[in-house]
Amino acid sequence: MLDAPVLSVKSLSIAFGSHTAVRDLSFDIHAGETLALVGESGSGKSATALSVMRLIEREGGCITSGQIRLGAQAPVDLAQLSDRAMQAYRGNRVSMIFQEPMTSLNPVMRIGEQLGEVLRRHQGLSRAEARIAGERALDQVRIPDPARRLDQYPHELSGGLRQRVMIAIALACRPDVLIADEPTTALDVTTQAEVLKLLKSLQREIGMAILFITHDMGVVAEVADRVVVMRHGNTEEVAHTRTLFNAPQSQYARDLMAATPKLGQSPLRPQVPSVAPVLKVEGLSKSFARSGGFLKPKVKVPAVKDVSFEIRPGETLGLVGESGCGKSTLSRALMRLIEPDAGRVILDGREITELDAQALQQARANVQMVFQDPFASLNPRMKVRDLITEPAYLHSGLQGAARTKLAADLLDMVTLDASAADRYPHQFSGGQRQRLCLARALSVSPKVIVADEAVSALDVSTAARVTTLMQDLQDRLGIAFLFISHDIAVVERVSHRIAVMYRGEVVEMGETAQVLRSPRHPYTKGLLSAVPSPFPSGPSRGIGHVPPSDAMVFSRG
Amino acid sequence: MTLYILRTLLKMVLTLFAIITLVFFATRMSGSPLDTALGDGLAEEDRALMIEYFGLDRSIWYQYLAYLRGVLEGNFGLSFIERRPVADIVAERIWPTLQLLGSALALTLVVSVPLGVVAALWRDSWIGSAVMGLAFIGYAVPNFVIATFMVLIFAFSLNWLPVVGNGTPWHFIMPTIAMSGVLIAALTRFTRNAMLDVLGQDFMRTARAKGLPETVVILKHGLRNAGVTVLSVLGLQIAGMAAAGNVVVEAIFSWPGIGELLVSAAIMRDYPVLQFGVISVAFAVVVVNALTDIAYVVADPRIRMAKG
Repeated sequence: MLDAPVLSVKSLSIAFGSHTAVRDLSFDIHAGETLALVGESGSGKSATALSVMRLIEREGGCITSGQIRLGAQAPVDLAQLSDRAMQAYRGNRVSMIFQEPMTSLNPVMRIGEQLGEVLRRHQGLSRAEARIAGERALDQVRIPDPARRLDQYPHELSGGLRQRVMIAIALACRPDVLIADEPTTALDVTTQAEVLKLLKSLQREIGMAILFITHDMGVVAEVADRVVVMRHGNTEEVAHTRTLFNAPQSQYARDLMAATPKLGQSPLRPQVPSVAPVLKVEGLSKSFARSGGFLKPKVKVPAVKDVSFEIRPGETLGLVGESGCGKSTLSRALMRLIEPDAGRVILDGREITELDAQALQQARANVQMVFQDPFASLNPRMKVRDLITEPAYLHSGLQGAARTKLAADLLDMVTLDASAADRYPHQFSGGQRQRLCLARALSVSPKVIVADEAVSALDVSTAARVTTLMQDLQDRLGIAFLFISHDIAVVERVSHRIAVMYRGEVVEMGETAQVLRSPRHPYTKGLLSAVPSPFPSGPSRGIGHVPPSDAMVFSRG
Repeated sequence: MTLYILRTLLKMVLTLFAIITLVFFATRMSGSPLDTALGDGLAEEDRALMIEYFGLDRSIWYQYLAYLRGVLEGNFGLSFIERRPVADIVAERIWPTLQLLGSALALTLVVSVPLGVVAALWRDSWIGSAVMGLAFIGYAVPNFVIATFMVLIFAFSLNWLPVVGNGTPWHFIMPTIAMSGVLIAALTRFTRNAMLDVLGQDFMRTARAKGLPETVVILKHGLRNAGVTVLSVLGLQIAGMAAAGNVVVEAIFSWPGIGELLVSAAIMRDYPVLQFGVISVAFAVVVVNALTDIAYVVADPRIRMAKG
């Protein structure tokens, strides 16, 4: 590392209209160093990243004060440049990669053209030269068969490959600074591990500084040399990674550490008494038909293959798997939201797979679902009171005063203020909305609640509060939970038993401690080793061994 | 993708066939042509001769097959009024109509796409509102009102432009503007909406992050994506214009095209011509739709994958 920092931010303040997003932020990054900017939603980390690129103006923000000095020798203050002048720097000396690789690439342009654009703009290459350089760039990010990829469109690639393409575009001109805004949040754990490994090795090759934005402390531990912790626009702490994890100075950092679920560190929940299961699934299977092409027979795509498990009252079964493994299909099939092809589902002693529509409607009161997106799951035009009691109304025709009373009771159960009943969903935060969804699920006193990635869209501390609430409700009311998630650390915290799903099958199932401490199936072992650990010096598996993810093994198209 | 194109063309042919059949049965349902076109006061034997000559005494199915044969041979019968083959009459008229449609389309594209982009970029300022206001007026005012006003101002008062016929390029100006009024308004609005959708997308941010100049970002990245949506709408609008728009305009400016032909045929009850006119308009709509479908698949690679 050289002495002069390659990026030096001094007293940066950013505002959106009258609202201050970032207040007096300062940090330095040297060549070859990675600085992580950590914080929850609303902390101002994304605003900072966009400001360094001077893209914040497009989003309605503006830099009210401070300097952004780029370059170790003869630094330039990016905050002072015009948009025109800034164009020469973007993609050239400072680049950015974003969170959603699917929407970040132009869907109607070929990869080669999008990649070539940045080379032709900044290095003045001809079309043919840009194509050769593009192929080299794709090769550098370890994309197999790069020549073929150049002619493909973004939707023909998987998420992991798309993110690699974005990295290739960003690094094509060998910038001094790479800004990575939550680049792996939308990816599977194994894909994430690969991408992080790639970034580290590219940093060694090219020597750029990386400003890494994230909310995941595990990722911070894996990639960052130093950390800046932000909250509501203020800087809470700046430290070396090791120091931050071993001895956090600020209260907020300590709270953040405490709320982050750490794999292998969560206290185990005592097993529930062994009684008859409240939900029993036997041999459940579901395939989807996909057209095989012109005049060819339809292809059957198996989504769920012969899955069996049971959940006892008051127990939480955690279902873990990566995207495409079939866990969502399974959850919908067991509730008969999708009709299963084969198998039986026995709910509270009653087989529901063969029931007709009316009987099924009644039986459904016993199993309710909470979904991933708290923003999309609540009808924005209905008041909270009507929303959370709607299932009760549909099942038993509850109306009037009784309904109002139920709403008040439910709000109390999920620790929300009674005045919430008269408000609309958009007036609540993500975590509060998820609690409303829980209240809605509880309104018919179900025996089983299926939580399908219920906390995945929430901040770490909010997620911790929601999972604690779930555990309280479970202890009090004896509800069984099927907790589906791709985040193993969260699953460890809430589950008594865990089932691991891979390509439609349950490959491993057992008590939490046994599955996570001594896994038997190779997929489980690979999955666990890919999880970034928030303890840089603790019992970390590291991202050394990375099992092949779906991106590499099952190529598309 | 070739399979998709072939399937689309096949569907187009089948639709055309259905239209031809429908027209045949529909016209015959409203009564025999003898009642009106061939005139009253015919002597009984003349009447019988006529019936036999036109094959009206045969069964409906025979007439239908004869009709189909005629269609395939390009023989659409004789015009009752002019006593000439309908096919010849139409052939003389079709080119002027196509010219008019073509120039209206060209004018529309040249005007509405840039206007739509401008309206999207400056949506928050008076420029955006002004453009949309104009578009609204263009949409609300019927084309014959626009045509009449233009004639009053540019022909009668100022004497700049000719009114009747299609002799010189100057003759094209007013009819083209009258025809494209509604189309420009609709397309400007659609382009604006499509651009607004696209402007908020993530890939625009990526394009800027690459250091591309703003014009390139808007035109190359933005418009290309917006264009896909606009294309589908354009097809429908052209079809509508071809079907109905040209009739009134051609009548006002005495433009020697199909529309004008249809108007006079309807007044004079010249059924063979009318029948053919309906078929040709339906043809135009179906063909344009099929072409739009194909163009859409070509333009958007994601649809290409889905359709195989």
